[in-house]
Amino acid sequence: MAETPTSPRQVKLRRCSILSPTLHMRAPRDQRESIQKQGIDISRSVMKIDIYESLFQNTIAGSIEVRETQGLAEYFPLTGTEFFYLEFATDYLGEERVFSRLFRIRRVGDVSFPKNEERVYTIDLVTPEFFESLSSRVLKKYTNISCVDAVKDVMKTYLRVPDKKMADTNFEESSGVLSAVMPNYTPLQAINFFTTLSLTKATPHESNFVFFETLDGFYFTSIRKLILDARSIDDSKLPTFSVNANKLTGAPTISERDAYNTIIKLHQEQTFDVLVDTATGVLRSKMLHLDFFARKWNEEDSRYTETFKKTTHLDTYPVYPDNFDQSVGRNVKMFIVPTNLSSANSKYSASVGETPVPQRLYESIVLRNRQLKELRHLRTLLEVPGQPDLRAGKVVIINYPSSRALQDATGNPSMSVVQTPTPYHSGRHLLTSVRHSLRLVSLGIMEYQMHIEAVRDSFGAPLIGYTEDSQDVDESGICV
Amino acid sequence: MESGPLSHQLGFDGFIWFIGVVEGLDDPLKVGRSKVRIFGWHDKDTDSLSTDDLPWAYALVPVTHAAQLPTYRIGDWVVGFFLDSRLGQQPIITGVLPAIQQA
Repeated sequence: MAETPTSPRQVKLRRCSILSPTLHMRAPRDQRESIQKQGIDISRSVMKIDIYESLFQNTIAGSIEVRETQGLAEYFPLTGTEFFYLEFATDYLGEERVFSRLFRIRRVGDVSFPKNEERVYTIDLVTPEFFESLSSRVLKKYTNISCVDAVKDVMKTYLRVPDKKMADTNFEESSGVLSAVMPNYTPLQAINFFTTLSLTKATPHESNFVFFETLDGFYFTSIRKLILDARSIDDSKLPTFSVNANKLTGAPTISERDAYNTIIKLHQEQTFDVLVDTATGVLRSKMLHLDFFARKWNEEDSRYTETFKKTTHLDTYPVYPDNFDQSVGRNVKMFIVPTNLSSANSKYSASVGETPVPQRLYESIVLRNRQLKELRHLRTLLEVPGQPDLRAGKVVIINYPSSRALQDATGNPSMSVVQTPTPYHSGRHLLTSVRHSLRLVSLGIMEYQMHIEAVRDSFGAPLIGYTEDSQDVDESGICV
Repeated sequence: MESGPLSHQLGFDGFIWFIGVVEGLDDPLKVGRSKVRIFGWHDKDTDSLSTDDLPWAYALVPVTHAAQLPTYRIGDWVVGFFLDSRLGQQPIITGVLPAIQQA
């Protein structure tokens, strides 16, 4: 029988079942095989499903809200050894998109009894890889290996991630090689160790690698690549959310694409904070790397203005005016790390046959600190209709109406508000997290909404800069 | 490695100390380094993590005898700390634990 297509915001729950390793042993003989293979379908009891993915979390997580009268929690019983299989389909712009994922049940939440035998509770889900990571340890030496190869090895050897969830295009090549002994790390800690040290192959190097999972699979990529990949896509093909409710609700009909790009709820967080940026080294910092074995040390001053010009951003202009960072002392944020850069390259070491890999922790730390923090300058939380293509790591356009007459050459203060997008905040945003939220509306049909977090690291219009060197602060904090 | 970001400022990320066993003394640089298998950090199984694979541990020497190389032996238990804190790649030995003869 042909299925009725779903409307925007709606999905069909294809399968929603719990697989228990021992339940079939207690089932009637004729049902044992099917229960072992298919598990027990609980889709009629599921009220709500939430799946959460984020650039800053290694694996996806989820929860399901169950309302039932069978006492599933005691029937299985649910003890954390079970798996939960989810499969849902949605019609999106004329084609059906199907998503499926196996989760591991982590725990059952508090149970409430609203009436009679009915009980309501939440089942928390993690991915099998997350559970595998907590259950194993990496005790191994990696020698002369690139970060991306080390990450792939940990994924295959310790997390047993299937190839289909490790698409080559999702793994970016990293620069250089390193040697390290994994000192009893969990596999995900080992991956994060390599992620922190990763530099982009392209120069000037950038250091904003992230390891994360979406419903599509795992990613080991720099934020630089996420931004550059989206640059090849025309603005008209990117999901565009316009903060202008009147335009949508005033129209008698809207296109399907516009319906998907409707904003249900929006909250703009002004996370820009000059005090935090000053104290954490976003504006200015110093790296001191010591090679005690060679009795050598180096120090490098790093400024936001200079880094911005060499690194990749969503838009054109920095969020701080040019040279504003010169008003911050060089020693306000200092990084001090050990290295073996000089001793590893010493002639004496080479003469006795020892050629260790130079430790280049100092190359990534300053950049990574700045690049990951500057991403948080403008954060927008949106509630939108569920779109199959919206994932953590994707780029979207958000347009905010201007609240002042920026283009008014006459300077007329009584001029009405200009309803064009503000050049500062409007434009491309990076999705850092997505919560897929499915809520039951009728039997087998769920409403699909997304709660997305979009961030922006730059402006679409320039700020007036400061004159270079005019306000530089020396090490004693005195303007020179 | 515990969760939470490191400050990457020497001395600010905690003093992570360890106890380990000296397994190798054949330091090509002849500066008193040794291969130390650290309890809880390195696998006790030498097949999965051989002595050669262990990181070199540097020995602190007394300020009064800075030119003197350490004289510990293979099998000695040592105490030390990681110069790079939770990253655990640069062990420094501060001393040898005494032991009594076993029958």
